[in-house]
Amino acid sequence: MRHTAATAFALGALCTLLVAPSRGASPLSLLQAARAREMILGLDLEDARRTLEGQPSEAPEIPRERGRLALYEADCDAAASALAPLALAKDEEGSMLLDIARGCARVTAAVVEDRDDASGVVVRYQDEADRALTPLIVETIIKARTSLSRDLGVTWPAPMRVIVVRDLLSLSAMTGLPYESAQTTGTVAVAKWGRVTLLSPRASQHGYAWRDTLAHELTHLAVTRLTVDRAPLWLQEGLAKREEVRWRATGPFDDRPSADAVARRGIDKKLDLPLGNLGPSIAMLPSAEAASAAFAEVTSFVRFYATTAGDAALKQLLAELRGGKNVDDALKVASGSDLAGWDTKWRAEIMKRASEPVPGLDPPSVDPKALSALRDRVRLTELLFGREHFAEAQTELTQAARSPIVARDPSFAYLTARVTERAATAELARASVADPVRVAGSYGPWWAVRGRLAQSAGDAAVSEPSFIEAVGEDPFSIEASCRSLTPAAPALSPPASALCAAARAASEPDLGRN
Amino acid sequence: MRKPRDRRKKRDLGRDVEDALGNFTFLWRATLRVPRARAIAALGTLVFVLAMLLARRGTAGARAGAIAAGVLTAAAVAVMLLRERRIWMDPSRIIDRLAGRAMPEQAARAQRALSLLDADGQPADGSVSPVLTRLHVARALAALPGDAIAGEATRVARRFGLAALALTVATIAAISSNPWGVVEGMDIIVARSGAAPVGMPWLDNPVLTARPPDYLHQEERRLRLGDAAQLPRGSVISFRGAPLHAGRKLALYDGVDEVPFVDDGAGKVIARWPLERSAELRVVARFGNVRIEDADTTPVKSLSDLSPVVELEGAPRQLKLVESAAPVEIRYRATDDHGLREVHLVLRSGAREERRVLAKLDGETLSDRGGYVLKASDAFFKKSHAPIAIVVEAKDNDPITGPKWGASAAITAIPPDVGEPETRRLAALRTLRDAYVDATAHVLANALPQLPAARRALTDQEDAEHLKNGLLLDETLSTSYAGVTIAGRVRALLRAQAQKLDEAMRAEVRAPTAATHAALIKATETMTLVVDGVMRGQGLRDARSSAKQLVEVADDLGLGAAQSQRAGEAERGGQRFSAASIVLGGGQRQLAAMGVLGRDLSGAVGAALKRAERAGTAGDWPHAELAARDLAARLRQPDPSFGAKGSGSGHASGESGAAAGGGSDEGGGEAERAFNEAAQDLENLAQEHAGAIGDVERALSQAQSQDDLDALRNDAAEHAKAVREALGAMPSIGTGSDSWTSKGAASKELADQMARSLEQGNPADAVQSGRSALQALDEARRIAQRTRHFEDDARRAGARIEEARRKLEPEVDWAAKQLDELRKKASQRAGGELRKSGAGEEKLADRAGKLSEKAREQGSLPEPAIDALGEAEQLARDAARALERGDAELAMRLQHDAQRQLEAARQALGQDDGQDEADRAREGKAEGDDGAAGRADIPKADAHKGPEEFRRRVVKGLAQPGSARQRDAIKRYAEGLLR
Repeated sequence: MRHTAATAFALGALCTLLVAPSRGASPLSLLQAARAREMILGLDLEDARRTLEGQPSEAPEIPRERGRLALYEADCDAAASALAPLALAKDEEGSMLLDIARGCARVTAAVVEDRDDASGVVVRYQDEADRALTPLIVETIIKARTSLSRDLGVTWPAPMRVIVVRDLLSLSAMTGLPYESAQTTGTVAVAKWGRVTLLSPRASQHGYAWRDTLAHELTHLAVTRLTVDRAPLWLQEGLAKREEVRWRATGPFDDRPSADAVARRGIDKKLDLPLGNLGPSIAMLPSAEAASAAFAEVTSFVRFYATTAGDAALKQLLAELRGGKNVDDALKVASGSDLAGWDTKWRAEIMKRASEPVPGLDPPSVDPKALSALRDRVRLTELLFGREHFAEAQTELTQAARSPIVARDPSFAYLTARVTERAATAELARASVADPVRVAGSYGPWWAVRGRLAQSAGDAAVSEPSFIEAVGEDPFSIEASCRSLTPAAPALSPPASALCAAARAASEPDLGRN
Repeated sequence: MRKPRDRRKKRDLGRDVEDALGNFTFLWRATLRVPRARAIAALGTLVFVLAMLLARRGTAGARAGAIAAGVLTAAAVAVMLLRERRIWMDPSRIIDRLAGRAMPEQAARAQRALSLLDADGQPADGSVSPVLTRLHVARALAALPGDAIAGEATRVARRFGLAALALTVATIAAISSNPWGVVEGMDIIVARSGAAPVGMPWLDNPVLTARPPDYLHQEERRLRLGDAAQLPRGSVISFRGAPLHAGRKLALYDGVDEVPFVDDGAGKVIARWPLERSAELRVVARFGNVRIEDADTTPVKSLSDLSPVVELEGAPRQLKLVESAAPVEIRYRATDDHGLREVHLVLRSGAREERRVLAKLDGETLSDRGGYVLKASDAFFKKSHAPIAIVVEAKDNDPITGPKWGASAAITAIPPDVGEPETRRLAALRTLRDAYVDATAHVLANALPQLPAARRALTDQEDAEHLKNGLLLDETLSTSYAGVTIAGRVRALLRAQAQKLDEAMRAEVRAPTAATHAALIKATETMTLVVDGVMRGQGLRDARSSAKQLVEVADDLGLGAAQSQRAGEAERGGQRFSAASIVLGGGQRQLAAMGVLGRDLSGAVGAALKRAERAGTAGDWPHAELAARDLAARLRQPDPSFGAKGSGSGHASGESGAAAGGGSDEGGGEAERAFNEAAQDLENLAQEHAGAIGDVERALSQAQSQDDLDALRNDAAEHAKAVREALGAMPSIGTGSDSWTSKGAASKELADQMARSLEQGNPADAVQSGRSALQALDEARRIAQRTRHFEDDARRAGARIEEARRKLEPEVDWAAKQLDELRKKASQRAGGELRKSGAGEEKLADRAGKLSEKAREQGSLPEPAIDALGEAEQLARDAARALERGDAELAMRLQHDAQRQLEAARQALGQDDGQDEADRAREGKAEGDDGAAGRADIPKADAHKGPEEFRRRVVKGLAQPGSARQRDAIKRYAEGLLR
């Protein structure tokens, strides 16, 4: 394998030498630049630094790689300085890198940084109010690294860099992902340039599964390191979807809806794309629905591959890609069949499944007027609750509950629990959120009210995991992080207490008071 | 060894020898003493005179040359005397001097005899007797011929005498060439720092005059040489006189500058000194680098034109704009010592400045008084979030140093935080919403009792609550919140819903049944949802517009940080940075109260501000600037931090997160949607109807026969002439906007327009202009009648106006008659087109009727709009019938009436509400920014006829003569545009 890798690198370097513009660059410099690039992409940044040391800067390749290295080391000011001359020289790749370096420099200017040297984690926060997340981020990274090392055999460079940004615009500036694309597909994190850029959970009104997202992005970094960024998109995303939940215990909403079901739906609706033609990023697909179908497709496919060929075949596939083989050759070596062969097998397996509606993606067809009336009813319930007219809120809620649309809606279940707690009894309210199977998907406030109600009933077996799930979704919800809606919160550990204080500082109004 | 002879020591030759030589020496020297002294004196004098004349050139070289000549001459004389003295100490040289030339043989013999003695007077040969040797020498010397020596001495003395005479003649000649020049030379040669020590007069009877600058309109005045004077800056001081010594370069000098004298053409010289600063003027003569000044100086004090003084009533003071929507009244008085040119109202906030002209004056007015009202809704106030300095500045007419501005003390207006008025408005809406939520809870909680009395009590209670909420609604809708109000369209929506709620309440009060109670519950719920929707929608818009306003402030923060990095600007940069930080902090607080998006943006502002301030505090200005730019970039995209553009919130469904429900709806529910739909229908109807009117006008215009127009043009020439003559006695220029002359001039202008329209064959415009001219004449007559200051003039004007009106009226009637005839003919020709238009008009009437009916059923539009729609429908039907009949004139009148009703309906929805316009303007800027940065759909040419119709109407309107009533307003408007 080592021999193949060396040959591939030599060929690559030779090609670089042949096609590289002369512009006064010595062949040795170009060779060093190509080597440094490989090292940077493989996240061996120290090696890359040593390789670039003392190299002359006449040819654009050397400053370009220096800039790239600085970008990977999160030194965006230095990256911008190194790359600025390339933009003047109209170096296309250099200009692209410069744009990202400048965006990064702008977004990370004067941000605060939390460093956990023992764990090899450095987290920067665009909004310092997010610093309360540090213990949870570090914990997630440690667990995910362990899980990924186990599953993929990856070793980790130190430090692991995470930047928590406040909005999609900053995410876009940091990563080069077009803003429109980020908005369209609802991208919340990107693993690129040797780091994870994560959208703060406070950006979304009720948060999102940010800890799983972090694990997902770490998988991307692992695959990039293992393959020197040669893994195809389907493998990257498929593995990331597979690994994003393997760092923790299985949850009630994992694989709900099932990736196979969504993939089948995508095939039925002709939303599926050829695995080898997913484009540069799923985040750049034209719609959230297309992105969802693509995610399901690659998740289902990789799961099928791993299940059928085994974990060893997965590791070998990555190794072959690192060696420079193309996907088909690598798949053949690792598993005896090329991509087309695996695709055929997978599709045959998927098509054996019966088509089924996917909650969330296939809402029951409803008369728009009825939907509008339901929305009004729900809003009235919230408003009456907000003004503490609990009985009247219950009246409205009862009418709204007649609609089949809300039967498995976690947000309606949350509303029901809150209203019932005040209008009837806490016991009834607890019953309304007792079973995760009764709701279609994970929802931070639902977990939070479930935890709080269970806590008040002394049921720690339910409350603890509920609060963990709630914080994993919506850490800046007072109910989730303070485990109470009143200022008199129960005694919390120092990190949890800091998170509770951050949630209170966010001062989101309670239900019906917005 | 022979000792060196001491040349300075006289040789001791013995008494005999010395006696023999002494006699000859005495004779020689006595003969020459006087002539030689005379020659030396004459030489010295000549050299001195020449040196002074040379020194008078005044250059450094000349002065050095003169001094050198004197010194050299003296040295030469001294050397000669010294040499002479030495000759007389040496017997050998004495013999040469006395006899060497006249008796060489005797002299040689004497020298040989003398050589027998050495330097000490002893015989050179030691074997010889000294006595005998000396005796021999004495005899040899005595043998020199005394007469011959005396004769030689006399000849030499004669030569000295002749030389002295020649030198004296030369000296006299030199002096007589420039006698005063020697004196000047003497003065110049001892000059220090370019000035000779001794002053001299240069002008005979100098005359001094001063002419103040033209703009002061003051007379020329005489000054006395040597007397102090005070003159306005820019005055020209003239010195005139006859030069006492010809050929001198004379100039006026104040210690710094010189103005040369020039020939005045009358045998005198003159110099004109422009007074720029206080000075001590004197006449000087310039000799190279040296001047010889006149002893008399004339001190002149320059009086500067003072800056205007402006007093602003009530200044200095501070006022908070948020506390009152009352306008800021500006009253000022500006004065100047010489004249005012302009008075400006100046508004400054941060780096922004706006100047508004309060008065333009003739430059001679010494005092101006006036006022101005700054509304709380003034655009400058709206855009400013840093303190605003309001000052009045006046400019004088000083052309010498350039106009100077004088400024009043400032009234400092403290604007509200960005978004503060909007937050107040939102708070009011929230209070209203809460009231209706409570009302909803009340009607939900209280079912109708069975007992009539209890039922009555409940309905009374509900009615009372309803009335209370109605009052709160009125108050909410009519209040101005630090300059912002509820938009007209929103007011219309809420009033329409309130109207429905009223009806439900009245129905229950009339007949309290389960059905009416259910209807009341429904109406109350709807009202609650509409207010809630309005509030949240308003919050969303306010958050966006506030964010857009904060963009400029964030840019300013960045500029402040950038300035702080530059040497010399650090202090200003720091101040700018601090001011922007304060404004952003205020904006952050206000945004937090603007709903979901507002809280989101508030957090973004807070986070970025902390970064920038942290970096700034650490002196890391480059990163402070970057953080500020990051904030500005964020605020330029006031979208939710996560979620689609335009939504109020977002819920992540990202790359790896699980998909979940979307954000909450910020809309106003069914009622608002119905309102918006109806409003859009009305908008479309009004635009299409305006287009239909245009179609009829176009059809009539196209149906006009060229022959008819040509015939009219032929007849019109005479009438046009008559029209011009009728108004010939009216003034061409008015003397003020409220004077009869102004109205008279307007009437003349309008009549001229009428005449031109007639000549162009355009009777419609001619009639309109003619009627406007008659109106202007009526106004002129009224003003003339009430004017008391010019009674005679007014009486005469009345007669002139009457005469003009008497002549113009029949011409207008004639044009109107021609127009009627043309239209009748055109109507007949355009019959088919008109009938087609009639059918179209009928359809529009149907649409108006249906819209009115639907709005009444749904309660989606307020009552005045529905009534106006009904009126419009009826008028459109009448117009359609008139078009069917081919009665184009009536049809057009009815169509215009119908259009007015449609416009009235639109106005009832707040379409033309001023606050709407302000809000739209503010948001328009924001949207404009979006447009520049992002995509904008370009409508197809046929997609929307509004702009085309509007352009058509504007072009037509501009082509028509304006009425005299609006003339002044139009003029002011046009001036405003030009300014």
